[in-house]
Amino acid sequence: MVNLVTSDNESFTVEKAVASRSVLIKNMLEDVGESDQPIPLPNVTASVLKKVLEYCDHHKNEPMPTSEDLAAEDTRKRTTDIGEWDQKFIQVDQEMLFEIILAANYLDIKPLLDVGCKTVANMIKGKTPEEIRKLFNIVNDFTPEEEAQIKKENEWAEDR
Amino acid sequence: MQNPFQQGAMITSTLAPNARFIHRLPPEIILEILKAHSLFVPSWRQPVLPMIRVAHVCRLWRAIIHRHPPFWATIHLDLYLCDRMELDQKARFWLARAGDELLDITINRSHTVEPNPFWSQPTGNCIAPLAGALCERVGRWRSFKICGTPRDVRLFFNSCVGLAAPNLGDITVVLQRDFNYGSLEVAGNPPLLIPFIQSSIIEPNVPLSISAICCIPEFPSFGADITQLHIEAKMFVCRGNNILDALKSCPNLEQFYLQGDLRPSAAQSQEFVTLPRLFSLEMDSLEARGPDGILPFLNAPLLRILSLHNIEWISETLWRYFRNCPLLSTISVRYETYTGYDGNPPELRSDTSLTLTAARQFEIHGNPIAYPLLQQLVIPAVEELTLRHVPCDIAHQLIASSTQLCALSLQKVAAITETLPPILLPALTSLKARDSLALLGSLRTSQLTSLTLAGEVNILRALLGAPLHELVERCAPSLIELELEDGVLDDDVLIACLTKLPRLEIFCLRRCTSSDAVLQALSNPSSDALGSGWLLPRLQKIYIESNIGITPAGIIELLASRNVISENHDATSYRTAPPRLAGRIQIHEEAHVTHDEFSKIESFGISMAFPASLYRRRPSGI
Repeated sequence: MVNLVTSDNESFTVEKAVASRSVLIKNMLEDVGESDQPIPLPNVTASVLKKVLEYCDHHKNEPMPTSEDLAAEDTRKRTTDIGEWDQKFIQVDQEMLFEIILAANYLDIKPLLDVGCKTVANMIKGKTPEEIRKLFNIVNDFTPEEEAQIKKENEWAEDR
Repeated sequence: MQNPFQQGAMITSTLAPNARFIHRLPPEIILEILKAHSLFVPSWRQPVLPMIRVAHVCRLWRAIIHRHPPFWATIHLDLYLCDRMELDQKARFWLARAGDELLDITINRSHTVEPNPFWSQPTGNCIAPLAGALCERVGRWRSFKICGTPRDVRLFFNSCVGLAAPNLGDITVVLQRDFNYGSLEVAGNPPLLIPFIQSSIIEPNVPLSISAICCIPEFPSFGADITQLHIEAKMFVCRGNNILDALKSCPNLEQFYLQGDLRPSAAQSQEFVTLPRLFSLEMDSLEARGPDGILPFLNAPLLRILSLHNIEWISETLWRYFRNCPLLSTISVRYETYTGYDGNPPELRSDTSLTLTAARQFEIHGNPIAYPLLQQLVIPAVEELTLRHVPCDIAHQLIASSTQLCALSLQKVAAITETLPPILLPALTSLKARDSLALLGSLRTSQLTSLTLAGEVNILRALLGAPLHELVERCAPSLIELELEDGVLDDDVLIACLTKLPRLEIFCLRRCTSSDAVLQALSNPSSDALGSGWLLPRLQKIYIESNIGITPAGIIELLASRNVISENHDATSYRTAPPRLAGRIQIHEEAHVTHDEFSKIESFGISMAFPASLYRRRPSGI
């Protein structure tokens, strides 16, 4: 078993197979060898880690992504599909969604990061820039010169 | 001015805590989100265009997108819009951001140019600057497609003279009709010059594929790079000479496909073209034959695939290919539209037999011209053989020479009166015979798993019962799939045959005379003490379509028996319950089907074609 300690000082004891879905934790465990020392996770809160561990537990028996899988993603072979269980898992509020993405990035859990990014991409799909700004509370910070250039680019975007 | 990445961090710190979730993400994660977003775009659209819209959300997102070269490596330019925008500027904008990425460039014209007196800026004015901009990066081109009028395309390629494109693996040229400048028939000639020069870079050796639609390409100086050539010469006439000239300039060609109307050449060169690496030659729908065609003038000693569909070939030419291409392994010669030779078919000059030792797949749609050739062929290693419109004796001789046959398909193999000796086919697993029942009595098979017997389509004349019974007697235990189509079938004979097929998993009955009695036999387990009692206990798929004697009631009885039992079986019946049936049902168009029957059949989870009788009654009901 592995003992994980969150930024808000909560401890989680989990199976090694579950914790090792995180490449960060897996490497730490390999570095320190057999040890009862708790592993501090200063960038993850307890509520987020609980959710991340739920994902890791569900996927603990699946093979880890290989370097070939990661290379395939770069060559645009990856799909937009999200598994049924993952879809339900990621149905959370926006704050938790981005916290999960950040945690997946920090803990180096590529499949979870992928699920998070695809979910946000799905939220963006088909929306205008104004709708996207409204959805995520983003400020339109373009200068007038940039707006003029953007207008021209918009004409190009209609070209199809 | 602040860098947008720094500004992104500043926005994060100044927003209210409950409104800044996405601003906490570092740029590399936003990039991952945007990459995932680009995948939502259907493949027929250009991924970069929605990315441009997303780039207008804020400065940070714009900077991320503009600094990711792969988003800009696909460049799409529409000549139709050239009077509204400067396409060369757009091209330069994309190229500047694409960095060192390999480029996929498409130039098209989204609307056909019709005569238009208000056409303010001829396309030609924008072609040269556009070509100039793109050609500056010709070394990074990976694929290039141009669809335009002959005038536009020729103008573009004029700018490419003397350029090498070492990474270019795919060129597609589509000539479109230009209503202002005459027809394609005129425009398609002379051949279209594609003027790149051969790359001096040896490695990496990029295989180059050329597709030319509605034109014949000409490669004066880089033909040696070309490994695949696809020509669709439809919509305009072309000359065999032009094709042969194109081939002559591609000495390393491996695959060649030609489709279109070929017209007699004004002056045929009669010169042979040798393609020492060609392994695949496919030709489709060519009108010219004999000395005006292409086939008689090609030499391809390493040819492995020869496919000739709907072209006028002569036995002498085919004979030469069979004799001179010892590696030929896949041969398909079809001529469905043959209506007779206008004149006396040329005699085959050889009277010795020819053995195709490498042939594994052989398909021929015979006609009287082919018979002398087929009579002298021996194909001992063929595994898949398809014979159509071939006399029974010739088919018999070809099959008898194919001792390793695994799959045999016969269609319209004409019967003869004499009795033919038996042929032993120990490896045959699949047999399809449509309108070719006469030959079946000669076939001795022991490993057959798939059998199709059919009469002439939509004519209930062929008597399928007797040949089926004879075949089942010989190969019954192994059969997994049985298809019966377009024939007269006595119910008792069919049921008797099915009792000998305990391993059957797929059963198709289409346009036959069978009645509900067959389905009733399949519906009720008998009280046979020896086995499960079910007829066809392994049956998983049925295709019961347009049989005149089969009613909705018979289908419902079958499905109610099989599908309900397999869903609700208890522990004691688990071992004997048959599998749930899938497949497709279509009731004969003259049969009466009620809405309730239609719904009931569909409720068993099986696909059913909407009955014609319900269409007829629809105005008053639905």
